[in-house]
Amino acid sequence: MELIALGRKTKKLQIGKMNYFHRVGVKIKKYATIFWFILPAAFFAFLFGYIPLIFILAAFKSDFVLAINSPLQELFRNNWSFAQFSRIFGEDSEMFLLSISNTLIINVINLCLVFPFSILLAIMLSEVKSTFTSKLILIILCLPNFLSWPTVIGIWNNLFRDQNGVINNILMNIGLIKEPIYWFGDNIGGIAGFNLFKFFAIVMNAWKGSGWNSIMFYTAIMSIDKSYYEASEIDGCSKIKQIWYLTLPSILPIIALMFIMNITYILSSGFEQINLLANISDPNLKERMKTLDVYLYEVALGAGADMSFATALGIFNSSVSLLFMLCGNAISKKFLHRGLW
Amino acid sequence: MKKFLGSLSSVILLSGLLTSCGGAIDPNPDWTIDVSSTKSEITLNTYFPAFGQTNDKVQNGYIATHLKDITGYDVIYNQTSESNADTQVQAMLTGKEAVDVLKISPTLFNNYVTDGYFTDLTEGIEKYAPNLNTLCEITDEQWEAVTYNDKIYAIPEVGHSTMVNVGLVWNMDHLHEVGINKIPETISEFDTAIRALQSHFGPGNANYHAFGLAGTNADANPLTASFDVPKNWFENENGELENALFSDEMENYLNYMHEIATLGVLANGWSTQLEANIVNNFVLGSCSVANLSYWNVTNLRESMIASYRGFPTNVVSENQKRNYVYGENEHEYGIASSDALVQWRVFLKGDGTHGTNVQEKGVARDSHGISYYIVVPVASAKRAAYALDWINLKNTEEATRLVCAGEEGVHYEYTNSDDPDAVKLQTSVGEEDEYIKLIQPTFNNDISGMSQYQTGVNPSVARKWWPASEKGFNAWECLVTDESQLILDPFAVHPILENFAKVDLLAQNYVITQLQNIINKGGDTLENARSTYLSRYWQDDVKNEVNNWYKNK
Repeated sequence: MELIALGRKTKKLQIGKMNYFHRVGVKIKKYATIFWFILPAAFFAFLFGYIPLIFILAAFKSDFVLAINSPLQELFRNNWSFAQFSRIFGEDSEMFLLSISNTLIINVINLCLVFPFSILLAIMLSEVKSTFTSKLILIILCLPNFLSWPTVIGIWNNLFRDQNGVINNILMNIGLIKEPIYWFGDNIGGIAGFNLFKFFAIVMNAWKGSGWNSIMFYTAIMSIDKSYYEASEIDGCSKIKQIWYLTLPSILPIIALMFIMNITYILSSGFEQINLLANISDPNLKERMKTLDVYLYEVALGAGADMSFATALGIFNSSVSLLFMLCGNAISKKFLHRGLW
Repeated sequence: MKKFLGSLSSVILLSGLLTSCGGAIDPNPDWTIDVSSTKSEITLNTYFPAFGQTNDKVQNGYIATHLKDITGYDVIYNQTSESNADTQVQAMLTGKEAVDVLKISPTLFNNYVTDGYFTDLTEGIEKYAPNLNTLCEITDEQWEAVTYNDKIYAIPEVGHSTMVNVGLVWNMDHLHEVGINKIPETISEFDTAIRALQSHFGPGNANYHAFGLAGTNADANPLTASFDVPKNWFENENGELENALFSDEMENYLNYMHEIATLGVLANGWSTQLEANIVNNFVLGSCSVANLSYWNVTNLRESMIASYRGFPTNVVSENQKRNYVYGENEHEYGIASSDALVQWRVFLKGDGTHGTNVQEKGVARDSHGISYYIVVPVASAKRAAYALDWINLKNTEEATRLVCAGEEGVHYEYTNSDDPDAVKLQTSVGEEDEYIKLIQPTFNNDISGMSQYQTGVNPSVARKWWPASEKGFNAWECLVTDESQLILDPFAVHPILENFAKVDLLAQNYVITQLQNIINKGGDTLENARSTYLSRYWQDDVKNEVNNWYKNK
């Protein structure tokens, strides 16, 4: 009896396995057109995203010089070592920890303030009665997103620079200040070490990206059935209550998705923005306000370039980002009841 | 389907691997090529963009075309942008780009030569560039500086003269308004002038700061020279080399600069300003004296004519403005007309005040070393023969004169000293004086951007004809022939020191940043900068390597 039961169990398992692959095959056949459609993108993703992953091995070398050898030849040269990883927390730990802390401060504040601001912007836009007006405002808000970072930094530099800057001229003309303020300096208002570098980084990011980021939330809000709002009005709901009990829960999936995506990139603060902002700021700040992207760039491509060490830093960066993504998904599932998987 | 996907994946993987497999190069040059029969196309990459030239003009202009006639080589001229030249050069080297000749800075050369990025030129120079030593007057010390493991990896391009190319440009109207009728020539006169200017123009105009100084000029002539600040390095009392940051003269200079910065003479954001910003401020009247490089003087004067708001009421037409800005008598090389609105001095003498020593003549700080290194990347090793042949042909007298002054009868003609437009050539001691007159506008249209065409330099010819180039675009570049007027860098020409090479570029960037910081903040920032420099860039292995060489040289 037992043997028969076992046989039946095994057969059931085998049948189950066959059923699974059979089901997959049936689905692929059924949606063959879609698979062909994504094949080019998948091909490029594989070619440029997965194949180059082999160069992670460069982090496990004592050095990686591309003068003569091809990249693969250099990769499999017999000079394996963990020295690069011990450098991260050893001789280069000071700069590394500084860059991590700068990156985290900027990105956490972005996540706590700028991310909700995009949602707020979308909600406010959705309350504009005229479709034409709301679309016009949306276009205007999205325009800064299309400017490159050098242009954005140039605009803000012209606005806030100390000599002949627009803001300083306005403030002096209306009598608020007697002397121009060096907004990008290190001792603003005579307070030693007080600077607005991170503030400018966050505000510029908000100015450039909030409009564009709000599009997704705005679209989600627009897709909410209007009858819910009518019903809530009849029930005596105020605008705030409608937003809190109707709008926000309805767009929760998109909020969760965007939250997880933002938290995944929490160690990436935008190399171009920070590097260019540092160029127009007090020279002392260039060193003190370095973020991980800028540090990585300098290690990889700057003076005394060291690709092995840069790869090791990159691995650390990616590992932590993966960890944050997993945590972000878990948090989102716990509190927002939504997740990526 | 599975088989198909499996095959597809294998093909992709294989192609990816094959792509990565390719790119290995043979670093051994081919010295069997017969360059007399074939002249291949050459690609040259210079370290900075052409001044006053479009890319098209550099590539297809008069000099490029006629150099081709002289050498027989078709050349593609590429330029690295000034702002991130190091990164671009590195990308070219690691990407094994097809560039035949690279013109790079000494620091970059020292950084990469030990990793095998450059072709060994030892044999090739003897065979394909036999005249190079004579034409370019390269000393044994300079050859040693490009030699690593007994192999020559570059051709040193040495400056043809010692020149002061940064000076103080003054707005004479502003000086007259504060009762100063002559250009300040000593540090005391400079100090008196800027204080008077700041106290006269400053109140009521918060955008006004008397002294326009770009961040990159934090240690430029002539202020630093008036304090006898060493150029980059100096020999201390123990006979060892130390960075100029540690000299007493540098401390005095920084203290003085901090003092004037606290008076508002410098703008708060001066350290982030470029010379282009300074020119703009000068034209707007937001500064009265500017520390500028000679190549920006023409821009400045033309901008003044176009946009200056301080012209007297009787100066209205463009011609009148031009005469007002340029003056009537700009004939003497290196000095502006005495009635010009914009005048300059390249020297500022120390007179024993403000921490300076008494200087009888103005001095200039100069490296007097190798300006650039001409290398053949190892990716182009097989074509090194053509590169060397081309460089050899390009440093003849005919080619050098073409690059500096063009052709007689087309761009210049000989004249005598009585001619008001005469330019005196820098003939050697014992030779007869020679004067030429430039044929405008042909000269300005055809002859410019000399440095883009130089790979190595014939110093005797270039030194003689250089005044023509400078006169051509109405700038100064003061040639210094009296050695007593020079503060030279004792470390300017040195062999490849591996430990030092790894930190040199980072250290240079650090020092400039710290000079800006110290001028802004004063106090103990100098001590902090010094101690950080010692711990990061001047550890025992570097220090011993440098001083072991220096003491035994």
